[in-house]
Amino acid sequence: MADVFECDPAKIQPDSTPDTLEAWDSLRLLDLILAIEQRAHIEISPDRLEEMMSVPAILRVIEESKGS
Amino acid sequence: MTADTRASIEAALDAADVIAARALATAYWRANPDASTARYLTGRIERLWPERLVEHRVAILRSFTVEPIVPLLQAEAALAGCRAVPWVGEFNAYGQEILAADGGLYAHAPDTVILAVQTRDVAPRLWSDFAGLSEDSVANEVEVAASGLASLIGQLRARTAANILVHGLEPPVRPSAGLLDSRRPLSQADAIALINRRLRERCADLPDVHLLDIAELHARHGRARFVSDKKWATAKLPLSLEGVGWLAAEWWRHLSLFALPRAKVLALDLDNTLWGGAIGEEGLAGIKLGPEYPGVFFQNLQRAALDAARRGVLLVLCSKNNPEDALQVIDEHPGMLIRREHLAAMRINWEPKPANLVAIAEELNLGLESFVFLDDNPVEREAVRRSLPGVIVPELGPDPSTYADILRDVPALERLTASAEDAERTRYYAEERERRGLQAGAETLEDFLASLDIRVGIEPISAMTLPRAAQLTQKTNQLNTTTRRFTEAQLTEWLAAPGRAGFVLRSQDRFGDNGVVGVALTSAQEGVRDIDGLLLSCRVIGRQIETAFLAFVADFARRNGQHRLQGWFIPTSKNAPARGLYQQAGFEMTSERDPDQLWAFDLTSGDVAAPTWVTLDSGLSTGAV
Repeated sequence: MADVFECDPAKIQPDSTPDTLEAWDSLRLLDLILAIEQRAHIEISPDRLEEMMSVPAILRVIEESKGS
Repeated sequence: MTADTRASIEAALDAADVIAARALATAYWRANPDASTARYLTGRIERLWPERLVEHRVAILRSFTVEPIVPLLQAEAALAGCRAVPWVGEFNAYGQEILAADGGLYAHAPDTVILAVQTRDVAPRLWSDFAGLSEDSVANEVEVAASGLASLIGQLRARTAANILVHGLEPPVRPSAGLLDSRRPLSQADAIALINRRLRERCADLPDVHLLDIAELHARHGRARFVSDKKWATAKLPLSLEGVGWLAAEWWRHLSLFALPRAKVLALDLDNTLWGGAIGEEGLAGIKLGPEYPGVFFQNLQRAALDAARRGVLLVLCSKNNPEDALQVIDEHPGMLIRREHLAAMRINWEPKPANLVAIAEELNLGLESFVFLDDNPVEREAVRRSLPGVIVPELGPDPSTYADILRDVPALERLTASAEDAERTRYYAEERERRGLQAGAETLEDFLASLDIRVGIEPISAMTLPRAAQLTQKTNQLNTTTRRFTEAQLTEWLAAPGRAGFVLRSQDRFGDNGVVGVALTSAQEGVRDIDGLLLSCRVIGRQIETAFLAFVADFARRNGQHRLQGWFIPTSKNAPARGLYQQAGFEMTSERDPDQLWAFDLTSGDVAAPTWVTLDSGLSTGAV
């Protein structure tokens, strides 16, 4: 996430959201989703995109996308 | 793994070992080609290229989401020592942006402008309503789309000095008319291809405007894999995850032509690069080079090198060999495609390769930064990278089947100049004309066979052809009279007995070299020569080359004092094609031991007539395997 949002890794915290990270916009989120899909070999359903607005939510979507 | 890799890249950078850092960075990128890796690598660009860093400003006009592609493009560029500085236009605003002289596009002062359009926005009715369009409407849509884009390209050309790269249009994965599409006078793909052709002509008319053939790029990787309807629906990104990476690589392939100097020289190693095996150890007969596995992979590489030469790249040799061994292969090996006349310089000796490359550069009066060095040996590659950092050294793995594609993918060897393209295009059309003419003109089978210009060379089996001869006895099932199998050792022993004579046949036609495709094994006893086996590979079946082979053997037998030539036909479940072989050549069946048949030819009564369309060419050596 830090690479994609071009920030210090320390800034990525469980409570990080688009409001606390300047670079977290919809296009960077798309970058992030593509990177996650590539690394985790998963496809994230379009239905889940709206949920991915916090670090815990992103982790939850990744977990739940595995094996689906 | 990521953390470890990054730690080793950082360590190499800290030690100012940029050669190691670049190699690690490249491997890291190939293993993880995503946005995270991309931003990491782009952030290290100055440290990776302290001695040489080129900046290239690129503006992207687009009708779809290109943002995920941009960091990947930057990473590809960073690994080649180029900082790509992007500017991305507004979504679907490319028309206004081109026409607005004071907009962000021209303020960016781009070196290259990419016009990334799609069929669905340039020709929406061709994209989604094609099945409902009349022929007239299709023609009209083609005209409107092509002239609209052509005019926009002209406007852009007039307003900037940048290189312009125009996306061609892509056909849909599934034609909207389904199978019916192929029955229309102009299919959906045809109509889109027509627009592409108009664009290609437009680009050729204007200086520094180039077409990126998206339809071809999609086809190369597979249309269905390239695109994603889900990503399009959710993010206006029409590409799959893989498609994003493929397009980024293709963009860089084109941009590198504008951003970085072109390589002028391709320096080639010999052993295990241009041919399989070491000539010094395995000898002329032992190396792998020819139209068969595995020699074909080395021929493929040679072909790729010759294609680079046709684009104006000079070919040179840089190898550690005894020069006389290597030159014998270059001059005499029938499988060699690269010959002396293709080579601008050679250093074949036992000197270190970097020193030899320096000597070649001096001889040609060219800088080493215009060299590509191709060598299967990682030690040599490392030596050249370390001593001559300007030389481009592609990675070659252990699998030679990949070598030709690796060479073809070296961006520095690409050219976009019209003269080279014209030469290719002329040749292509000349060949197409010839093929079409051939089909139209060949009315009878005899005429057709005559038009093939079939030439065969027949020679006694030698040490060089024995492995191929044995292999053919092992794997030829169809046009094979007795299906006798021999290992190399068995064949050597068999041929050593008195009265024995074995031959191999090589064939060529106007479409190319078929290599060694036939074997005849004979033995003489008291005025009679027996054909213990005669076979031809299935790839030359149906041309009566076998009759020419029998004519040769008959002539050989008569000259050696035999009055009769005979051979058994032993049927198997697979060799029906060989059943009529002797009868066709004028032999008579003299005895039958059901199901086997013995056929004979009386050499005192006349000749076996070779077909008129097969030329026996004594200059055609059978040496290749």
